[in-house]
Amino acid sequence: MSQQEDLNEVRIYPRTGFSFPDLREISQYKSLMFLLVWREIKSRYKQSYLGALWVIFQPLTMMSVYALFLGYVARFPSEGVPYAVYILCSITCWQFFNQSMTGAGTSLANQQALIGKIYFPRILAPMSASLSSFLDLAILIGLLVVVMAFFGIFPSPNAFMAVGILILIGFFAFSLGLALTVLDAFWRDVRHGLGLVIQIWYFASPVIYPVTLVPERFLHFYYMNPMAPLIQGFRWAVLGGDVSMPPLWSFGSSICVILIAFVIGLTVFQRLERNVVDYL
Amino acid sequence: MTNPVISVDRLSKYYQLGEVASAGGRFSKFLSLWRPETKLTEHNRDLWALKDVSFELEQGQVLGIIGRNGAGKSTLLKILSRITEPTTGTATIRGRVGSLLEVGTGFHPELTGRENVFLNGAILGMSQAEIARKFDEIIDFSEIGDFIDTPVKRYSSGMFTRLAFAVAANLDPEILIIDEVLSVGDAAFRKKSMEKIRDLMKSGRTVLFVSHNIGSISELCTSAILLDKGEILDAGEVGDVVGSYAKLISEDLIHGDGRGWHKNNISINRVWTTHSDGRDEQIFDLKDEIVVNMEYELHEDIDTMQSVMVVSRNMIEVFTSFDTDGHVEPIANRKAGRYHAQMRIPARFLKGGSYSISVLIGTLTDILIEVPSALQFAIEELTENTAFRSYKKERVGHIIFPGSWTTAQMDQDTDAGQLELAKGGT
Repeated sequence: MSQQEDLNEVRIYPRTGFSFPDLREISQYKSLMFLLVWREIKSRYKQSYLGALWVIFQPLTMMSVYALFLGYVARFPSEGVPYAVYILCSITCWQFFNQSMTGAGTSLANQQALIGKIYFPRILAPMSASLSSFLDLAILIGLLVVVMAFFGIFPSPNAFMAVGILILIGFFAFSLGLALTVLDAFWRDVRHGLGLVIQIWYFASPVIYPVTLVPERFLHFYYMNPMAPLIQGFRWAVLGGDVSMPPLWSFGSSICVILIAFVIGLTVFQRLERNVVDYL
Repeated sequence: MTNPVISVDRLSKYYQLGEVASAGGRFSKFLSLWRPETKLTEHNRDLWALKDVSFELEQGQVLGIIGRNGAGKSTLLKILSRITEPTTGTATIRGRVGSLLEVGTGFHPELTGRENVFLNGAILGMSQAEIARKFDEIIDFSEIGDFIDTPVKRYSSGMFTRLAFAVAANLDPEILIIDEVLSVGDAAFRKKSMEKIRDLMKSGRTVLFVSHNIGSISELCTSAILLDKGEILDAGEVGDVVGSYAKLISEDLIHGDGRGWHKNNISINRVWTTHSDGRDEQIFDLKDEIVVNMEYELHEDIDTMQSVMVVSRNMIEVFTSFDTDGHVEPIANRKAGRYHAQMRIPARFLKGGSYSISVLIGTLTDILIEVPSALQFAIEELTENTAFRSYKKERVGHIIFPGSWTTAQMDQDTDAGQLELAKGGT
């Protein structure tokens, strides 16, 4: 009984400095988190006939257009794999990254109706936004499997490593989203600027072209982009064959950048989250 | 057990209301958020929404929070519901808090009623199993029936409110924070909600209650605090605090200045209101008799003199009364000198609201002096909850309607219906 009371005792005080997120509290709210995820998913395809099918139309269209103009007309090389399949792998990664980061990065402002009226650990907002993008990812992977079957390509034996790579991408997107969402709450400029940055980043990553097109002497710099080894690694893990594996050091540096991004993101979030509601 | 359920210690909240337009302003504000330890630079547009508020609440106590708009009531509730953090001070809460800051806030229009019940329960910190156990009770209370699997955006606003309230009230929080929820829904459901809240209060829940309806505060609460400009002005027994509130809002009303008004050799020196026992008062309860006093001086004799008072509520004239009304000859010939006139407004005649009185003195043919809005007074619902009365302050209309209704059903049992009508006709 007394323990029960302790559990329910809440002290409200102005927090200063860095405060670590209360993991016990977050776990108490896990059912809310799943409901927020559900709400997010359901409202995304509200009143649409085709529902989740819309998830695959965009990458499918992108794949077809790129395959036609870059693959067929411009004769982009694709490391011995049909160009369409080759870029669908990278589009899957990129779409997941983009959606997850943008979703988490705008989550506080998007949930302001809830945040202004009701308490829950604020980190649930970016967490649920991130998690909800996993559903779209699953659909995209389904599409990838179908397209690979269509072209008669078997996944490489290393395909299991793709799971780890996707988790890294999701974690990276979430870390960036943490910092972005509190900044977005203060300046909506963040979401506009983000679109621009993502566009540049898209072309700086091996999404629609093979890494082999990058001149040898720039490859070092090229792989410092933490997304580059992840996307190329995903293609290598899924397709195997002649697809080149990124150098091991680039995975290391990528993981380092992701961890640093997580620490910074969490710090910024925990520091600013407390009073964000007064500025939304 | 001796521990208070809620203890609030010197709680303050500071809002920077400075211009948001300049990016520089936003940036420096951002920096001050980043380093909250740095001394706050006070600007005149900034505001202590709450300043050094302390109180304690024991298990089972029902505390009303009253104050004018902007007094800090909502800020206090927001801090206690952990929506925003205080600038300084602490509060300790022992028990699960259910806050009804606005009914149905967690509802999502695209989700069905059922999904929303679970979502809202989770927001209040309940596990799925707990909500499932309470589910039938909630549906019963809300009277939603088969619509439970319809997206709530298709609900009427009444259904929406009913479901939202049903969730919040049936999920058994130990501490209930209520902000003005009773002003929603149709009358029958409001009554049911009031009963539910009363039940919760009786069953030993601790309740914090904010309402503009002073009547319901008096009725439901055991104690109250009065907030003004972020500070506690008074705290204690609910009746005493309501009295302080009445005094506070009377200060808002304009006082006639001592010198009076003069025209055509007539001076109206003073117009004021008193209780029936003669003490000066500008705030009355519904059950008080109101005496309007006018002191005037005639500097010459006036034949066929009449003094008139026009009582208005919200710029609409409610009635006009002459001092000679009901006299056989509606005129009076008055000698020069000082007079004190009194007009008595019976108790339970005017409904709650702010009133203004214009006074006129004239003859049968001419108006000699007219003072528009010479005096304001207010009638408050201090002791009565008027939720289901014709004279609820917020209803359209200006009087306490003394009549009553009868309604007979006509189609079910024809004989009985006719009988009823026949009776009504005689």
